[in-house]
Amino acid sequence: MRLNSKARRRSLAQFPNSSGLAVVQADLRRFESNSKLTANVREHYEHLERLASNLRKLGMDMETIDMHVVALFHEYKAELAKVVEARSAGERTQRIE
Amino acid sequence: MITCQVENETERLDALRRMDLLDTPPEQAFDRITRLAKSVLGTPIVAVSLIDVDRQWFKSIQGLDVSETPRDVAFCDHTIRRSEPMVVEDARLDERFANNPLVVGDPGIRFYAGAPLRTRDGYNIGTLCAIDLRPRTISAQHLEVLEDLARLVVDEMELRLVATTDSLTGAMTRRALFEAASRDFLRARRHHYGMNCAVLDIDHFKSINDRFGHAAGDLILQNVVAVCRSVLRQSDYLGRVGGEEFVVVLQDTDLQASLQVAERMRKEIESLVTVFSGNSIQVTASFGLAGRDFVGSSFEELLKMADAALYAAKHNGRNRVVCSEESKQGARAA
Repeated sequence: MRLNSKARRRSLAQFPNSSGLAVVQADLRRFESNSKLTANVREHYEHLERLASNLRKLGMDMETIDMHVVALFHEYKAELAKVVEARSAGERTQRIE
Repeated sequence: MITCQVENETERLDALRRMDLLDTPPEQAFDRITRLAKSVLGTPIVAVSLIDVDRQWFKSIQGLDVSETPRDVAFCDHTIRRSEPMVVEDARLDERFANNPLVVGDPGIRFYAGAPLRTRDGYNIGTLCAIDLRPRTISAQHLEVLEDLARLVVDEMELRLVATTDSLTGAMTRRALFEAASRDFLRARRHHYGMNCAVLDIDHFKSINDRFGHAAGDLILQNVVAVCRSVLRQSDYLGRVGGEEFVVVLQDTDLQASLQVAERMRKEIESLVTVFSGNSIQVTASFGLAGRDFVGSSFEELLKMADAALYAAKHNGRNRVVCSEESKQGARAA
């Protein structure tokens, strides 16, 4: 699956100030061919958005919701960085061989 | 109720195995989700439960100091048969659970709410569940949050799967294969299971790429992985460790049986015809095989023996399976 530039801007705009997504952005062209990774990133955002909305409906204040959502995304982002690193290393290995 | 694919247990277990999470250490990402669920739902116990063949194993658990239970007493085994959450407000009043040892004995479960962990290909591999030791109800909005958090658990799992999967062929990545094989090697040694390893390399692959282009080469790699998988069992696995080089790990089997499996893979590859841009392309592969049963103290050592056998297979004319000398001697001695 290829993201066109408009869709790419839209998906990245969903995570302002996200260094994890900045890592993805830097390597985005390489990963555009990996539909599973791009789909996972997009769906994760949608799931966080839905969680935030439902926590709000339960009466949780925005500050607490933000804290939880950012913490959850922080964990995800750390794993995402590992994925990016692993895939880059794998591609380097295969180029060398 | 929408029908799930849980009735297809073999494929569901395959999906669980692909995640490669069973018996792995706790991870902060999952613990954070269970802690949040515990806080929002107000239940003393929350867990990420994975339903294996005969057990439920907890990737993350809050409020209870156990790592697994038998599957036949697991509430979560009922939840994975559904497409939506399951709620039991008072287990003692529910005939399915009234006599369950987890209800009548420790920890004394009374309330249960579980949301299935459904993979993107539609398999319920486990649940995110909340448990209380007193009867209670749960609001629709709280249940939605439980489902939201279950989706985040699946996101985390799927992300790990992307990291461990070679994007071209769907085989495991080199790193993932080494991690899994090193872990399984130690387990095999501890429990005296057989574990064998085959290294396969597609013969003259560079000339295929040069002649037909990289797109043709990529298609051949995908087809080779597909035919190899068709020969392998659920417990075996295959990783791409180089451009056209793969490692197959065969568990709980002896050297002779592994030799037959490698030979079947070799024949399948030999008879495979890849059609690309009007060209029918055929390839062969060489195999080096080594067994852990009798020699070696690490997976790396096993792999070295298989590599040496692969070298011999290449040296002796390619398109053949060669078993490492050390493994054969070990087998004879045993």
